[in-house]
Amino acid sequence: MTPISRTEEMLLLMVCKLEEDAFAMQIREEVKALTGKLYSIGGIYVPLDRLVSKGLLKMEDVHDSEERMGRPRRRFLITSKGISVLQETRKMENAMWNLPASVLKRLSTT
Amino acid sequence: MSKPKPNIPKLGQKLLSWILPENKKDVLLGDFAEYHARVADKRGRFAAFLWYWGQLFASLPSFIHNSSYFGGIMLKNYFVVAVRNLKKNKGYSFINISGLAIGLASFIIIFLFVEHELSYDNFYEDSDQIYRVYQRQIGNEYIGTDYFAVTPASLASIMEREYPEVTHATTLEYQNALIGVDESSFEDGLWAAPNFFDVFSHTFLQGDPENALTNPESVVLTESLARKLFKDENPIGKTITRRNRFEHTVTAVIKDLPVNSSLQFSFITSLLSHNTYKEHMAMDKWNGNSFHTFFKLLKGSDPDQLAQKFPALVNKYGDYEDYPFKDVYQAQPLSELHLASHINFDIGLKGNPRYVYWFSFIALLILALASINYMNLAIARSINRAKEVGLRKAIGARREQLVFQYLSESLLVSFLALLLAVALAYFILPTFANLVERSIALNLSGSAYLLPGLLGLVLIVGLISGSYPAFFMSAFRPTQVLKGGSHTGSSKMSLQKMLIVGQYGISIVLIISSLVIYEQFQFIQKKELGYSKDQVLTIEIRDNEVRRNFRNLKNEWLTKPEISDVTASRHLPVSFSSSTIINDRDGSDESDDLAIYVTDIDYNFLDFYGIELVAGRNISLDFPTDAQEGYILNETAVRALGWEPEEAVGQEFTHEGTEKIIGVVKDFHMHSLHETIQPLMMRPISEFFWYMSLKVQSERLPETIAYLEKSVQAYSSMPFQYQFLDERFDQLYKSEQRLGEMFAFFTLLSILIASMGLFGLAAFTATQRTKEIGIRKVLGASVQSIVAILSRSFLMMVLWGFVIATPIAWYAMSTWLNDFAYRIDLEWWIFAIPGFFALLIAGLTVSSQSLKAALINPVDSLKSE
Repeated sequence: MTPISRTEEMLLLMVCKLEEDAFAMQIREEVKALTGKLYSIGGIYVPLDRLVSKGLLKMEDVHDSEERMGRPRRRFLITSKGISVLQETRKMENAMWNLPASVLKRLSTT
Repeated sequence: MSKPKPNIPKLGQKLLSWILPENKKDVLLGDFAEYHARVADKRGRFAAFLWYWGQLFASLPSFIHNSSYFGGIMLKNYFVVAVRNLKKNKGYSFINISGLAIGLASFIIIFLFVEHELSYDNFYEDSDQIYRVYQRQIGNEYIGTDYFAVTPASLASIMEREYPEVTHATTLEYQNALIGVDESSFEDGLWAAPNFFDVFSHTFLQGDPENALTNPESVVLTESLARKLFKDENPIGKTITRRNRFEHTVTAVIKDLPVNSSLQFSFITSLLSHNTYKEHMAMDKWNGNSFHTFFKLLKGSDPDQLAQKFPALVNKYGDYEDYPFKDVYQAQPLSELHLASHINFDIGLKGNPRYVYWFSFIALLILALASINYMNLAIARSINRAKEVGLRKAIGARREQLVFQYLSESLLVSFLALLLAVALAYFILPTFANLVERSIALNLSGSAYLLPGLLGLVLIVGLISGSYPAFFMSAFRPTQVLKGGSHTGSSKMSLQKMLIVGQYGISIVLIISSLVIYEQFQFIQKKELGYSKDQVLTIEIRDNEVRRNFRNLKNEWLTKPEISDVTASRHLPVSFSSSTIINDRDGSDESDDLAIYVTDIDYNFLDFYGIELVAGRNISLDFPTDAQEGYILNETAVRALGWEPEEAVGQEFTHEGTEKIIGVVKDFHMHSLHETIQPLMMRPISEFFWYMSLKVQSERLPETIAYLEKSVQAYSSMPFQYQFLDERFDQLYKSEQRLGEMFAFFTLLSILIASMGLFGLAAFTATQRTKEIGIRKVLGASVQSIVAILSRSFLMMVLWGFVIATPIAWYAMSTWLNDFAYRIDLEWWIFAIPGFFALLIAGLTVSSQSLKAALINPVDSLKSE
């Protein structure tokens, strides 16, 4: 399994966190809140579409609100492949941080 | 309850729906709408409007990124198809691309030339603050102009003293002298005041600028002259001789001058050892104008304001009570020095500003021609790809893909033309540089404008020529296109027609101009000059010893059968350059004063040159008073003094005393035919004459010249220099000759391009009309009539071109010819022959294609339905 980038990991986790609310705009706001990076309206779809084409996310169009004059909203859902990728990534991360105590002390944030 | 919804920018929505791919369109439009409402709620309508547009632009890169523009899958196919297209129509493609390449190459070459001409002398420090003084003596016309580049010796130091805004002012003068250590050669050099380097900054390889010229005996050498004289030794402190008599010590060596320096010199001697300069500097008042004054102005000062102060200076220092002509002094920036014309006694290498204008104009013209041609033909040919477009759409190509494909193909081809153009320019540039006598290097990055300009042009040309298939054809419905309804819009035809008319019009103007220039030249060559210049060899006298022994030499030479006559004079009939004023007595009426050219001649001068006497007699040894008083005037001179030639004989006038007119000669041309014949007086030679003229036979010429050299060298150690008189004569017209050559070259070019355009168009039209031709043949038309029908419209276009060209050419050529006091008349055949010629070429071009089309078997053309 090729490792995914931190951004991709972040997006996948956000999709999981937001559950039914994982619409593109919501994800965009979460990203802004967490990292400060503000994607443009069209720009947020770029990494999301890539994740879809990699099979880690799937999308569905939902017609639910009147604000958008009948236009659907696009919701993203994590696939099983996505979940296993996240698990793998977590395992790798733990393995990476499995360091001797002296090193850990230097890296500690507390 | 939500507030009333503010309107989403309609234009923005339209734009978005156009750009966005189908699968995302609705979703994204919705996103935009949702957020627009939110922002409007929070921050107001205007903020929302701004936000909308801001987000749109910010999102653009992602839209492009997402579509399959950059899905490189199709690129290979596009490339292959593009190449196939070029190969399939090798002929057209070649013609088209090379046509554009030729146009671009000419533009590049001319651009480099013009840039070079305009860049002269810009390498000095603060070059934009350097100016020179020149003056106008209103009414004192000399060789056609009353402007003079020379000024009094002390002007520079006076300017430094009196004007605070002049930071430095220096004086200089050109010289060409024999320079050497052991061996000598003639070198170009300068006389300069010690503060020369304060105005003109040079790079010093040895020595320092402050003291280089303070010692009167000093001399500064350029790198290459130093190497030539001293090889590898250190030249500082060594002595060189000037004119075999004067010694100078080398105090400094400067780097060689760059190519674009109008002042050309290899050594500088100090004016402090120049006798005339020293004399003039010692005087209170100005007397004589013999030197050039250059100065540096304080940054920010206005040269015009300075020029207004000049008259006060002239009044204070000038000594002009007796002088009838008022001096008006003016300042000119250094950057204009190279192209300044019509100033007498000017210094420095001169370019012809007319060249700069004409060539710029021609460059743009040819570029326009070539580009329009290219676009024309490319668009015409792309009509044939309608089927391909239809097919692609049918199998699912999106509009963006088609746009991308055809635009990029077109850009690729035009960029190819640019590469070809650069290669062409590389090869042609040396020849061109030779022609205009400049060294121009192919430096594309030199100018800030050239490369971006070229790329921009290629971009535009490529985009426009690709626009028809890319934008228009991609909008067709596949069914209509595939079925074969070809869309030869007739509106396209009239545009193309106009282009052909324009191109041939321009070509005809150029042909007419070339013809006129050629005719004027022939006229000049053949015009009765009033003296005979054939077989005349002239030797310039540079040594007093030779002058003193002239009689001996003459007698010696006349014993040789190859030399039939020998004479001497102060000037040569090609260029009389001394002028003075006669009848200028104190107390006399100023209207009697006459500005007149003067020269000294040997007793057999008139016979030698075949100059006719119309009244009186020649100067002669039989009349000893002739040596002092004997003057011969030309017809113009005596008429100016108010006499007919017969009455003038025996009349007196004042020159250096009272002089008598003993003879009157028929007017002959002593300057170039640009000028009308001026008054002239001639008197016998005494101590100062500069030229010996010999009539030599053409057989055994090398031996004769060797013999002459030996006999002159017996009296002089100077290098022997000779020139044939007709060579000198031709040099007067060198610039016109060059102009003629350039015109001929560009005429050829423009005809080539225009014919290429016509050829392509004719061929294309012929293929479009194959069905029509087939039907006509079936109905019984002969090959000739078909050719006639196809060719007729094209030849009409050429005819229209001719109609437009004639008045333009007439106007332009009349203006050029007006510069000559003696010129040809513009007769009808000067216009008719080029027109006929153009028609002929067009006819050949068109009929070759028409013939080909007319010979096709109708069966072949009609069977595919």
